[in-house]
Amino acid sequence: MEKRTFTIAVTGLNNTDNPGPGVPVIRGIRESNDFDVRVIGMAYENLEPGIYMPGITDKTYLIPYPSAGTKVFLNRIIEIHQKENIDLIIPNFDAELYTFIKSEKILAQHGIRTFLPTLEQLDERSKANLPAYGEKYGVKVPDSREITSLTDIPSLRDDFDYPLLVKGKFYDAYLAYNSEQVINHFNKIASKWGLPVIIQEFIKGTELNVVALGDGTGRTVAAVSMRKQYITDKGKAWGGITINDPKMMEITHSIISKTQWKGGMELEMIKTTSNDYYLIEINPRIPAWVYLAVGAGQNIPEALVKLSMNMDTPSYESYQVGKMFIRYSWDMLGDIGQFEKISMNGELKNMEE
Amino acid sequence: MKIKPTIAINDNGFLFDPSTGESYTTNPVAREIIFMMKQNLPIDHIKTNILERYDVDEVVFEKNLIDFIAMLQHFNLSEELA
Repeated sequence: MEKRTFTIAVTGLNNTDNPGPGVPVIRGIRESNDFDVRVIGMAYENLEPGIYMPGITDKTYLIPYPSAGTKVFLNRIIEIHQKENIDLIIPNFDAELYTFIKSEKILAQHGIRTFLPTLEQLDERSKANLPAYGEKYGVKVPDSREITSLTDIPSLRDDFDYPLLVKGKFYDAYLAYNSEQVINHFNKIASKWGLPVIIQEFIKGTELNVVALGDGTGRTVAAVSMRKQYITDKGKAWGGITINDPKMMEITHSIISKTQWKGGMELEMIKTTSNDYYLIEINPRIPAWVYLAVGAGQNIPEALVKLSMNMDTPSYESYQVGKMFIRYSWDMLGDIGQFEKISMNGELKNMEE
Repeated sequence: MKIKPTIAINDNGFLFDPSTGESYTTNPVAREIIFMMKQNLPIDHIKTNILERYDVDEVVFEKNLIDFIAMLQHFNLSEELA
């Protein structure tokens, strides 16, 4: 049977020291044996490495940040769609998900598919709602509270022991050992990500992560767990290894089943020395380390495309334990002409085309 | 005391715990001890075996063996013999 060719748009091409998941997602879908793909990159900044990396996108377009307004954002997506005839968009940033989910119907009217959680699913797993989430779905979570002002900080001593974590609503987390440090982190995070800022109990233990894919009916299509072996000063995994932790898999399957999660997700958990598992965060998208899962035998990006396209997508049953990834930096050379094209025209064809 | 059956050990004495992703390297004598523990041999047997083949003071070896076994327990790599 002839393979179908899909045109898939992907964001998150910022393969920097704080990497977006776009490039590993593209690597996964390009490795599919069941379909061919033409990849359209969507970049927010003209120096996102994925724009220039050979063999990643076929063509990349600059798009405005969702903060520019849904209308401006959607108009640009539709404009690109009119040129490229996009079958599917895979958004890879937390901050853009709200806009994409809200626009799901409009995109569908234009023939663009997405495979995303619902707004309710997105909201209930937000950092601010985590305590209620833990209670509702029977998962241990650290105590947390939203704060919106510096005046909330002195009273934290009543409810939390130091150290505690100061977290942004989308990204960033800092450990604070006293209220002075909370003030510093609060100001830094609020200016970058806005309010509220989340204060979270610090749970001591080993951080473990799971990348998973839910089909929206409660079925876990794929799930791979990993322990970070090397962490950057931004808290990002620079190296990791797949592990076999049945309890984490049980928690993952339970969450996906109870929430009927649709799309990719990353569960961040802490395993304490007394073998308790605390869910510290749910990222509502595929994480940047997803290529480890692909290498370990579960091509999650490919499975997400198949689900979107209503192709037969059986659940993965196992993966290779002990598979490792190590990130590295590499000085890629480009030409000012490429930079000129993406900056002036807002689009760039890959050099290999 | 025996090595947990889930722990992977290769011929070089490299240990991998698949439940945590932690790995450990061992020196040649530790490797021998681990292989004997893997065969569920009792500690007394291991002690005799090593003392017969190496020029080592019994008290010194016993102290090191106790430390080593405590380390295996600390890293959750061993369990009691059934």
